[in-house]
Amino acid sequence: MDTLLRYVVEPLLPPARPLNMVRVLRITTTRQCWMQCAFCDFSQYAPLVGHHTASPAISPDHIQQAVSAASYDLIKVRGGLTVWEPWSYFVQLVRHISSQSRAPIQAFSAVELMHFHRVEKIPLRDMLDELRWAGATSLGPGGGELLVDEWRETVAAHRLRSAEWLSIQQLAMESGLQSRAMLLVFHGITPELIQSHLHALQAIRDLSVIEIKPLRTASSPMAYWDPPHLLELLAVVQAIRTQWPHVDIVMNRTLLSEDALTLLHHHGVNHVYITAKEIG
Amino acid sequence: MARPLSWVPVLDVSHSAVTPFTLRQISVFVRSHNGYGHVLTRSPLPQDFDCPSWTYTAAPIQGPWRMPNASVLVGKLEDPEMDIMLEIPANNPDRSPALIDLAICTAMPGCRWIVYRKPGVGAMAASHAILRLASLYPHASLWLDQPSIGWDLAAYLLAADDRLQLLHIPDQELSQLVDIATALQRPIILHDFGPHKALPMAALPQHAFLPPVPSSDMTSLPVYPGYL
Ligand code: SF4
Repeated sequence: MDTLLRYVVEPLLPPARPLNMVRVLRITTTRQCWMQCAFCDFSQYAPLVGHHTASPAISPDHIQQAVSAASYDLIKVRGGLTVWEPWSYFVQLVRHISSQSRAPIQAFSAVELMHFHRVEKIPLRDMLDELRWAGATSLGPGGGELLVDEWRETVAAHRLRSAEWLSIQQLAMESGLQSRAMLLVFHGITPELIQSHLHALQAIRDLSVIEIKPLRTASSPMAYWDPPHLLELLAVVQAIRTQWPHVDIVMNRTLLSEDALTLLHHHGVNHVYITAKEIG
Repeated sequence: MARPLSWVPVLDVSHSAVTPFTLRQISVFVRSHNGYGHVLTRSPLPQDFDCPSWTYTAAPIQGPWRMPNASVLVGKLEDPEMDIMLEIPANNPDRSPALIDLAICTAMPGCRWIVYRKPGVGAMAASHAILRLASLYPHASLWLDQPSIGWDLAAYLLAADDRLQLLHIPDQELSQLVDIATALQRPIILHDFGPHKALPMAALPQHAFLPPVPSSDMTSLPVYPGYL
């Protein structure tokens, strides 16, 4: 197979679906993570014992004002992995947020669930039910960057495996949480990687959202790696649209030019996250 | 083979008259681009000055019409979405008034159409206008002004029609052209509008499939460096 991702030119016809701007409140619980994924800005050594330099995760007081001050279309709660607070703390945090706002809450991801599942030995299904009880509406796509184990072992060796990520998404849907997939795109990504990832995603029944994440590696170990070119992003959108004509394709507005956004919309991106506020 | 993408290094000194300092600036520019370069100037360069290619941007109607390696900016065509500057080679000695008739210029061999996107025109309108122009005039030599078109739209347009080329690319943004060439699998050639033969650029660096992470870093459990 060709090792180069090929964009096939499409004429710019009026888009099939309108572009939906989603105002997002982003809450980052902690910016430290022990997992060392090479593409992540949070991947740094955090001490496990002795003199802690890891600061505690965000507190409910800290977010109170921002959550209730404005209306958002989505509240995202995400962060690194901390061993400082227990799982119950984060469930209460989500509960607190949902009591302050009516916006849908995308809380944590399969990575956090697996972490606490291992550390605290709580059954995954119970954790998902607790999240649902606390008010979360969906599970974040974290951990599903590229569901190709060979790639994951090289850049994120401690993460859960593709099959584990997929099972957690399935369990989440059974618990009533919407499942979201993602696709990390970097410069030089090959058609094989994209196709393997999309093939793995076929395992999720009723997949409704795929978030395309262009690699941004400002302060991560992979800082030397280039972000994807627009033509690569367009090719990825085409690949997704071919398999899922009706899935919602989401991208973050940050760092996309007006022209890039127009072109992506014409090729099939139909939701854009705009960070209305960021805390933590 | 895929049609190459052009890199024409352009130096714009049209904001001031030609002085010895400007001439020196031009020489340095050309030397630093391997002997290639295109210069925009509003007064003619001296006959004995060695410049591979240049455009006279403010030529009077009765001006000198035979200048080696030079082109003349003859006028502008306007459209709601774009401006088109027309340049023709300055090699016609008879100073015919027909030379400033734009309709005739467009059909002249060697005429360059330089397309500028008007401010505030969206990507969709601009791309439709440019691709329509390209299909209406299949033999025209169409050059897109990179700064006004923008890199994102330029990438789409170059993918959509391989007869389009970019002009006025700032040197420090050349990597963007390289990225487009990589994605479209087209070579890049360095040239100007003078008589020199185009120079193919060296093969582009490619990323390895996977980043070279030392395996010991990734397979051992993370330990705070302070405890090692
Ligand atoms: S698990 Fe998530 S937060 Fe932690 S390093 Fe990996 S990508 Fe970053």
